[in-house]
Amino acid sequence: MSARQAKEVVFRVVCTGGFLVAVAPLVALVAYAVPRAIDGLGPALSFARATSAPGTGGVSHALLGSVVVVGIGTAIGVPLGILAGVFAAESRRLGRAARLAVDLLASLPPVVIGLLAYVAVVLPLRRHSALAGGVALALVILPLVARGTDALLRMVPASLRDVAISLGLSRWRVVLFALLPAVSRGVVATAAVATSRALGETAPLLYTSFHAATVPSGLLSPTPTLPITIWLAATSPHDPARAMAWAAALLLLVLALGFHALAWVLRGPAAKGTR
Amino acid sequence: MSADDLLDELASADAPSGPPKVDVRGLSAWFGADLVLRDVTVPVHLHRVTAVIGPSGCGKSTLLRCINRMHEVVPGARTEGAVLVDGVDVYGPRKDPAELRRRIGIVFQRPTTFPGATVREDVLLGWSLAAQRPRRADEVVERILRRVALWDEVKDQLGRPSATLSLGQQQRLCIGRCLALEPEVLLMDEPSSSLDPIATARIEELLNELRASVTVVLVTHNMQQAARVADFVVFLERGEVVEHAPSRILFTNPTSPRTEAYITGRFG
Repeated sequence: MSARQAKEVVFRVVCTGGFLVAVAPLVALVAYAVPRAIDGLGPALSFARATSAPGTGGVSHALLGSVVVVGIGTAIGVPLGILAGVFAAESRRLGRAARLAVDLLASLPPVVIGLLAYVAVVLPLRRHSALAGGVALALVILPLVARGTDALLRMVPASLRDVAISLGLSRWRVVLFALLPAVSRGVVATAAVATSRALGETAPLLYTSFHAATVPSGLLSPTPTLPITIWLAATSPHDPARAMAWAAALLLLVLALGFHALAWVLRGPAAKGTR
Repeated sequence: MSADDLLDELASADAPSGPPKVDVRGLSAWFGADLVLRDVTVPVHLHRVTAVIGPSGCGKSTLLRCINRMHEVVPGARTEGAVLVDGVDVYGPRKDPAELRRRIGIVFQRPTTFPGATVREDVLLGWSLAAQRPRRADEVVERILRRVALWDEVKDQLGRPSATLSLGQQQRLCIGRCLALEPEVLLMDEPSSSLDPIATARIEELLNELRASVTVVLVTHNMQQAARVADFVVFLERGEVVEHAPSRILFTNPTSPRTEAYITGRFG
């Protein structure tokens, strides 16, 4: 074997090794977690009120709570993110500053984002609430969507922009009716990925939506969410609670994968912005 | 009659009466620090085809884009001087570039259909994007598609995605999209450079019909095309007008040796 062939083999082995290390946790998760999770799924999905016995009460309230909190976060974060992204892509003078601001927001540790929402929403209202959790998650979603929208808009071929401008449209019409529709699938895909990311966020929720053992009574009361329920149940010394944690983890995984799958479909070959 | 007299007579036969439709006066244009047009003065006559020729990078497209203020869309681009349309400077204070662009349409080098649009939607794009609808939209679509000689080819497929048409058909559709806004002036930036000879011939036929109702400025790198369709020709070199003359004169008896060198293929 020549030295060149030997290098080729070594390179291949190293790359394959890296790939195997990367997929190992995924395989382990499926092999270890899924059977345990399926065992706990039945009781986990009950809406029974939690009692003093650990592991009772299920995680349905947490599932509902997550949907509500993430829903608020998406409802606030996605539109604001799109607007911020449009501004970053289109503003000649402040575009770079906007991009920097968005990047800074994206680089904030989730714990700090939670702290911001705590100060801005929890302290004035004097209570933990789904609303506070939603605001915290909106701050997670916003920079992701803004970055994505900005990048997609800047990838629109100049020819399309030229055509729209040459047809006598004002600047905002060019963006709103010509450029954004051309990248709409990409923007929705970005929003889906951001939502999936928000779904799994735990730290910002600890001191915003906090936790409850039952279905929350409204947007202004403490609200259970899947990540925090998993954390509480998984660290419990009781077996039924840990089984429930696995079930909740599986639910969260399926939801997150669902959003990612949506993004994959939208970004498929037929969805490359322009044809 | 001497040859010069004959040429003068030819020239006066080509010269239209009345003031120019578009009058470019002392126009300079920059991209950042690069001066790409230097004190250009060119009158564009009503209902005539004026071709702009010159070597690559001489500023032909920039000149075109300055006329309907598309130049300033590029970051860092700016202009000095005046472009008068019907005697009014389009760069004057409180002039709305969007309104100007509806009066002065532009067709780009590469046909660009609108993503996801059907043939019908693409024809009406200038209206729909402005949230307007022409009266009798169906009639407008038919009239425009007939005008660009596309009707017979697509009349049964108006719902077909416009991106699936051939390049030549797409370019005629793009011209139609401009005409649907009933522009007074049509700027064409090498409209047939990405097309095959048959599609090119159809565009030229179309140009010959258009001049009855529209004033056309045509940028082309193809001198035969300029000779075939243009009434007037502007020869531009390094951002400066070298010569501006009726096409019969410019191609047969150019005044400037630089024009002669270019049209006889010695450079460019």
